[in-house]
Amino acid sequence: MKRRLLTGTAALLIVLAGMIGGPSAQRARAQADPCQGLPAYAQAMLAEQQRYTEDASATLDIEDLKQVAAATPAQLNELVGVIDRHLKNLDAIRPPAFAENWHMSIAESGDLSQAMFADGAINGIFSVLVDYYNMSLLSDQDTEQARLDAIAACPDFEAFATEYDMVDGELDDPVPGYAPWSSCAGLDDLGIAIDRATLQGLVDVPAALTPLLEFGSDWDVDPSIGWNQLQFFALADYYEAIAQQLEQATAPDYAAGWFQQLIAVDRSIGELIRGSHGQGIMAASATQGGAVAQANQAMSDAVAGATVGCAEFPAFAEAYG
Amino acid sequence: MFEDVPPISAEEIRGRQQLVREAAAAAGYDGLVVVGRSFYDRPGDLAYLTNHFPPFPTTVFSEGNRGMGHAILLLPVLGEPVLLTDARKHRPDLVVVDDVRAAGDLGIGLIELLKETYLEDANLGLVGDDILPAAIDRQLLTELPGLTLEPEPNIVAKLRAIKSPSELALLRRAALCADAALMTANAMIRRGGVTEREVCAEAIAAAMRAGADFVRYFRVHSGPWSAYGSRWPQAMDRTIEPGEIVALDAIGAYQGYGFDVNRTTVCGEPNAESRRLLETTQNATEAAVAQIRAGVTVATVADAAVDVMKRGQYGDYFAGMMGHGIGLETVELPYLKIDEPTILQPGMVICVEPGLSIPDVAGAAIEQEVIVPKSGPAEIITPTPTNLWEVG
Repeated sequence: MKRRLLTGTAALLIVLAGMIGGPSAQRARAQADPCQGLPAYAQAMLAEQQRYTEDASATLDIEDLKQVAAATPAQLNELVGVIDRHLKNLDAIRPPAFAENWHMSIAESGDLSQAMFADGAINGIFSVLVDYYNMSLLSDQDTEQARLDAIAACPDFEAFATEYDMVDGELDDPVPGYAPWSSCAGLDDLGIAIDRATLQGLVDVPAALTPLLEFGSDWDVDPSIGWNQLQFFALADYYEAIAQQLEQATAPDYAAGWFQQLIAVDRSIGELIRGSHGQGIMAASATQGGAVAQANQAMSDAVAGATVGCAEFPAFAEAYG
Repeated sequence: MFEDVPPISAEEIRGRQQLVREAAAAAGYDGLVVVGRSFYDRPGDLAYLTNHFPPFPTTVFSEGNRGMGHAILLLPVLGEPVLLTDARKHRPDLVVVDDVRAAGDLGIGLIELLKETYLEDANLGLVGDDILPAAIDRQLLTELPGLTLEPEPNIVAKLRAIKSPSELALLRRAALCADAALMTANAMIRRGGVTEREVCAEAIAAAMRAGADFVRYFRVHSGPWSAYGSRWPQAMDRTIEPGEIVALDAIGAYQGYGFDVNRTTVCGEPNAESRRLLETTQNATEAAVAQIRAGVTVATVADAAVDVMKRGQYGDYFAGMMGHGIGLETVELPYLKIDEPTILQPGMVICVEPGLSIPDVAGAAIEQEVIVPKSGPAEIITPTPTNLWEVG
């Protein structure tokens, strides 16, 4: 249950982090000629990424969703300005031929971030995330393909790209189409549907944002003990909204059982939360969490069946379950 | 999915007007004069029939301003209703009367209206005999000697006592505003180091954020002041000390429908004496609520609470009124008291609040708003835990 409760905030972080952090990456080595120009380019790009990350973090720590939720339009517009400087600096860096597409995709990703934060300054950042989800996804996929193409031309590019991605402290999550489970029919689409449902839930129930962030921030103390009924209702409705969104999606046959249980988990979490007033979610979970535990167990049990259809399903279930 | 509850529809309000007209005709009236006072005070009868809540406080009469904070509906048995508002006017998007007129002097406005509608010598029922300003009453007697204006306390009151499904939905939602205020207050009090005023301020803000139209007051009475059911003012700069009992009372409205919820809590942990007082009060409320069903008398409900208090050896400290109806006004009929013969009917909403008061020591009240169902036990619509001293 704790895990699924965190999934909501995690999905938000993924989209936001993708907007500031670098793209995904990985490894290699080869001969000298194909990588001509990489050292100077890498030095310039790493320096710029370092500067940009520091400037952006100083403006708004997007890893801290509470801070993001509390961000004023002025702060978000300041972030737009930071991204603007970053884009100008990227323009001034000339990539080697094999990295031109990757460089361009990085800049386009920056353009998208700029548009999203500008939009968020007007309409509220959490209400626009879902609108930018598809474009963000396509941008990530372009960047990933450009990274692979650059590595094919220059194997040393992989080490640089990994270092670039790690400037913000962690590697980005796998991009649909390039994830370990992407070769399994229908799983990328299912993962996208789950992420979208999570974001759409907040659009449907914006009042859930505060309790969601509050609950996900500290597992040692259950903040919900002091919540009022409206806060429980909002969070419960959020999980119900996710469940309703998920019901619109179709899972591949081999994953249908697992997916149905995922919906059941969301729904049972919602119902548990709805009745948690006065005792808190964790205490209610201990005494009345039978339905959630049952759905969770059924979801875990369904992984084995789904693995018959896709060997990489456990990794998918770990990422989205 | 949780959503804001829709307001009472215009159709429902027109239906009420028709029912009242028919009842007035059956009672031999030519029409009714229905008086309402400011939104936070006594708007009930008027709002029930018009959806108008006088938006201004009642104010001293002066030249050209007589009746501020009031409004009057003329509902003829034959003919269209006319709403007279004070100079602050009305919300055309909400009010379900086509003919609405603003009058600086409501007395003159009503006299002219009765002449215009040929009702100056009619037999009219007065709904709101207890809130029609005496000055206007005298004006009517002087200017319209042929008019008969009889107090009519039953026709509208009977309809109002039984809530419709949409009214019940609004009352359920209103109780959530009280819950937001009380949970906010309790968290602050339990942590300690706060004044009554600080708690009051945050609690009112929480209720407003939760959708309340207004909060008439949020009482925070700490320590020996908890023995006061209604102290002036609602909160003081007094710091709440560890171990003190704190009586809380949230009163306000959501889309016109009231919430009124008492809770009692403790700063930090209660001692054995405090716990006994609190648990006796909690048990008294539970015992009373358990008696609420369609067909039982109000006295039966009150007796159950009194029995618990006596068994808890607090028989001498019973605080008085044990509850009341609630709806468009905070306090509606019936009053919950021993020997009250009113029979509970499905659709009534009752605030059950038996309280204990040990003068200069402490007091407690724990209030549940409950709906009398068609069958079976009462539906409690106040979600706030009754044992706040154990929450947080």
